Amino acid sequence: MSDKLERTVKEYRNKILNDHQLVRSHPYRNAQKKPKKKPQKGKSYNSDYWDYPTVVVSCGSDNATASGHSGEARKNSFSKTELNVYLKDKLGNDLGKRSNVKGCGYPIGNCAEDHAANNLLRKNAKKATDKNINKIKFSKAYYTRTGVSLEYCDNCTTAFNIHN
Amino acid sequence: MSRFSRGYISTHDIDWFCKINNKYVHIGSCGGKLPPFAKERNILREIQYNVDALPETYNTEINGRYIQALLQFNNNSQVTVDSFGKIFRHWAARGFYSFYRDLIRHNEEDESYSLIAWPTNLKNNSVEDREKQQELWRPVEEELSQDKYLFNSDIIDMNNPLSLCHIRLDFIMQ
Repeated sequence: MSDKLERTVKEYRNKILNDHQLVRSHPYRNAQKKPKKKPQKGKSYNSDYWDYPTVVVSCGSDNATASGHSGEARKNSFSKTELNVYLKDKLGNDLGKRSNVKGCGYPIGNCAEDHAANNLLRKNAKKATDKNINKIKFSKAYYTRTGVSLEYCDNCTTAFNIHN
Repeated sequence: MSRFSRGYISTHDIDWFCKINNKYVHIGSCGGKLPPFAKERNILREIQYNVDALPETYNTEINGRYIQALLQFNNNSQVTVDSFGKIFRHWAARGFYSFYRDLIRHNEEDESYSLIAWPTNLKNNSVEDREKQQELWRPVEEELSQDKYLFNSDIIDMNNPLSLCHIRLDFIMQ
């Protein structure tokens, strides 16, 4: 499983890098107004595609894999899997706020691990329960731009069954 | 005019620009804090696009020793010094000293940056090329010559690029 996850996260990171490259080289990128014509598949006029997400990670369980990147937690997405409830139970606060975990300043739900786990649970049509979360295995986390690996933060090691 | 939210800034790797000791500087935030002038989304996008569109006019160098230490610290075999350096040579070739958030001691509170790549000397270009380059440079120069982008610091010696590791840019910009 871990080899598969490493391959998945590598592919995911490359896809993000390629997508961003497309936007950066897009002929309409400097247009003040979006053109009426819809962008081709794989191209986007969203200027926020300029910035790489800081971190990417992949995870898997039950033969399915999913990837995610760091970003602001969206309650309507997390509530479909009840991951927001699970994280509040484990970390003691709502999405987007600081957790009770000592020494970890990252807001709850913004980590790549949270997004990847949420994507996986949605893919498997499962809810975030202790049993389902404990089954999830994670790849190493990587900085998107450079590909350098980094340690999981204290929120993630507390919420998920992972350790550095 | 929309501004980046705190959540967006902490979860994205944002390219922003300024001038320190009269040298053009690029900074990759890697989730680090942004100064107020870099939080205005539309203004920053325009600068990013304009800088990215500049031609590669400079030869470049990278801080290989720093990158080597970083990769050893992270025990990472997928990235090489060259592939890491190439990302930042992109900005250096356009005339910018390219800093990146310190990944060696990375945590959410650490706001130190290290110089990864810098321009050395101009490539030999034809007169026509130089005229085109000047035209492309004009909007970048106009924007980055505003007071809000200009900083001076005694602790930063741009003539000694290898010394520019673990710099607290937030202190310089206060």
